[in-house]
Amino acid sequence: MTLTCMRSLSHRARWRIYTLACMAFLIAASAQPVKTEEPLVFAITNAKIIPVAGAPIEKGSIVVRRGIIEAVGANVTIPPDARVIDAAGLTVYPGLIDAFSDIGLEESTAARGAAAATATPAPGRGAQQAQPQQQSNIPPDERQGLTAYRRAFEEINPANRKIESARAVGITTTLVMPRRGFFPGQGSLVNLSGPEISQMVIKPSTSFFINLAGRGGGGGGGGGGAYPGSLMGILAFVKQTLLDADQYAVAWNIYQATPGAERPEYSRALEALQPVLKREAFVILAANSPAEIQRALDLAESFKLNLVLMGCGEGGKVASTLKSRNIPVLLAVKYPDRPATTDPDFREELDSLRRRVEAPANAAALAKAGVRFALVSDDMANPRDFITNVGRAIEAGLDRDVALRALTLTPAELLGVSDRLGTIEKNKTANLVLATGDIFDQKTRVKYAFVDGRKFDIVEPQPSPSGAAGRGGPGR
Amino acid sequence: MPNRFKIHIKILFILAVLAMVCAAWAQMGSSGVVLIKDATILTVSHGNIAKGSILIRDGKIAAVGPNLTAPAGAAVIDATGQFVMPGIIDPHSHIAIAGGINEGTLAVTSMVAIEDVLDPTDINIYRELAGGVTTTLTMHGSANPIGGTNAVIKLRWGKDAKGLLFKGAKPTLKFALGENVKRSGAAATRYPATRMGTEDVIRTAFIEARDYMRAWDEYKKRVAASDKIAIPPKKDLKLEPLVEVLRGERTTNVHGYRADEMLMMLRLADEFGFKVNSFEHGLEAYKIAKEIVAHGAIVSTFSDGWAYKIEAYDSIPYNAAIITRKGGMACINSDSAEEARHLNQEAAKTMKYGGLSEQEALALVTLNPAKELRIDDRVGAIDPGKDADLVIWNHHPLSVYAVAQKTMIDGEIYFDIQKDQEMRKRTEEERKSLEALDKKNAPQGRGRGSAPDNFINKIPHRQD
Repeated sequence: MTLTCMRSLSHRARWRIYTLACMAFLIAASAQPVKTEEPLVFAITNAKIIPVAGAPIEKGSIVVRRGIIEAVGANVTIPPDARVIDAAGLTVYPGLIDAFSDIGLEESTAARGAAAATATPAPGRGAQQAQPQQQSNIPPDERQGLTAYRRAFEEINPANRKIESARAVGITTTLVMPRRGFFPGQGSLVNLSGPEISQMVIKPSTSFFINLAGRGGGGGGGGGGAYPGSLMGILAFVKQTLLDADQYAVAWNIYQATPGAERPEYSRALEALQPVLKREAFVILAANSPAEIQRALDLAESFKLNLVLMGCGEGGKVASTLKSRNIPVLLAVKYPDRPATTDPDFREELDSLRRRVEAPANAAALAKAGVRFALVSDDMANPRDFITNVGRAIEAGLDRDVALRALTLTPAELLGVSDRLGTIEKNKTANLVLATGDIFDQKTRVKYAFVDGRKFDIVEPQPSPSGAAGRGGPGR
Repeated sequence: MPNRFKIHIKILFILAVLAMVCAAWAQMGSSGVVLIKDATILTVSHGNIAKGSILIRDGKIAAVGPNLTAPAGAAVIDATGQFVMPGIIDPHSHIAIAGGINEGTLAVTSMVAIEDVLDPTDINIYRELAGGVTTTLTMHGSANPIGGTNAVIKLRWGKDAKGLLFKGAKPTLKFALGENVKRSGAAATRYPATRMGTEDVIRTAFIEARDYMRAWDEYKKRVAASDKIAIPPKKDLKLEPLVEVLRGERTTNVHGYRADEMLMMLRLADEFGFKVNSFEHGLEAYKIAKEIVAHGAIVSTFSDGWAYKIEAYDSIPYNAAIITRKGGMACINSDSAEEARHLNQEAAKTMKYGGLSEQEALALVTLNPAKELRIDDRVGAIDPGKDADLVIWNHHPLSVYAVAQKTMIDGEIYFDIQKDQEMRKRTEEERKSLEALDKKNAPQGRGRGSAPDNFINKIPHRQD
């Protein structure tokens, strides 16, 4: 077809097309080398190095080759093929690990369906029988928020802008967790590199999240909406699902062991939950108040879950329990906001005031009790706020080194990757942050981040045009 | 000079000893021996003792009588001129629950449990202690025919969720009939929409529960016969509590207003061979006292209040008294964190409306709810051997002038009107220092007024 078309064209026109095609090819070809021209060997010299694995090096060098740290120390021979970065005045840290986040996550439409089920009213009144009515009120897995098979990396968009802003504060690795539903899915450990998701994944599945606030709204009302609508409903749903997953395994085992046995129904969700019951994967439960923490501990105990607590905003109040039961904590440094009100007579409840004012001291209290924790951002919108809040925890008594460890080696250990990540040592992944000073200092800026040995120049984020004039504009 | 010095040392020594004794006393109060002396004791089980004492040992009532002396080392509470009664038991409440009191999305939600979501920080626990309440049945709401399992709690303010539980109380399950269930006045999106639909839902659920029992029995038989391919049925959290009801291991609290719906429930219970333990509210119970008494159901009702919805039009303040006179058992409940703070006064109304005796009136909020909850071997009256759950009042508790002075659970004081005053000062100081810190932390934050709490919006209402 194409050839016959070409034949019908004039000679001159034909030449033009050839020229255009050649140019297009050249442009395409020239785009390729730009990528491969990215240097594979770097030498960071004259830097202050905080390896976390050992004592700081006041003036040293790090050699990075093909994504791996080849050498680090005060007296390192710089290989001739290295691109040298003079880091005089800069401090190098291991890339920070945010062990529970939503960085880059753009949850699928199916998962959105789980949230939308809240708003979908149950079938109309006046149905004929109780049974079919109740059946139709129970939606399939997706709508029910039972999607334990989802893996976060499948829903990460490498071009998502939060990835860039996380890198800009020194976060190079993160455990991304799906959020929607009650069994939203499995967390993926990724490096914040790209440009393809395949280049980012460290572990496609590290853990499961059970979201006891899955519906968001909280208190279930008198009716409408899908089950479960209240906290006690969510707990019942979670327990029933874990029981079902247990029975599922028993039924399939009988079927497989003995000819003549009935074949159970296949369930994608219950199948996916098997590592949870076998304790092969850890389960993350979010809890903040002592009562919520107790609820999570009870649930974990009754199903023998391999529990990791996330949040723990008031964990300091039950630090001794967490310590004695040896529960690892993903400590979210989200601090409660001041209650928004325009009521001049408003007087904040003492409890709320306490929670808010005492929030930054929580991390120090957990550290003092010897609880093992990693600092995480959970769903904070802005990664800069995350680091700022870590700074506030330090002001409130958290040891600086403990804070750094809680963002590097501790999460690496919790996630089983401490042989590759979390410190600046030979043979570790070249995830590095070059900052203008102490990383938790408000004035410090990150100049470069290395992720998997790829160098990212951090540009100061431009103030967004809508920022100053937009929302808070005059007259409002 | 040296003499005076010696005196000083002596005084210091005496003070130190006194301090130690005081500390020991404080200890005693929480774990050892306490004597409440010279009070008017309203035992509820066996009349009043004009000037009597109660000896408490290890959280239990050790002795009650007119002539008790404090053993060595006992802490003594002088209650001269005051009145002691058993701690009030509120058999219908929705306090101390986190994340919603209704799972109203389905018609049958017996899989949900109040015990899972107890909130030990609900301030209503403390406020109700100030009204003399020591034990509460905190319940699932009445949005659906079969709600969740309820929790019997003692108001041990300051303890964690598990520390609230009344250990050994019989498990219960909430049912509901009538307008709330059929979604009158609400956006009706869920079956049932009528009273006959409600009956159908409950019957269907029990049929399902019976099938479930059979399935398990059959499975167990097959396993016993060493059948290797027997697959266990799914454990069903919704049906388990219903099976327990059928086996008599779990009691039923049935929310109902109208006589016809209560009669329906009695017939349905007979059909499946279980008992309606209590009708909650049961405003028209007086119309069918004979049937209710014959079945043995307890009526847990309001003292008064009516016409707040159609099904409450025939409510009368004589309900509790009529049930009592017809040989049945009635309780007065609050269904409201506010009303729970004056259940003594609610009980007193039955003396005016229906002529109940003082002891009968007090029993409506003590011994009778204890019987309803099957905890009358532990609480509900002042008898030796029972838990030391007591309230000390400045006036007779059936008087409108009565104010609780001390409320005690398991021999431990959880509310003390004097300590409360000191505590208010301390919390006010704490607030000031927190507010100062808050300002320091965020100087750009807007200032706050310091007008008193917006109280009106926070008055708890009956859940009806």
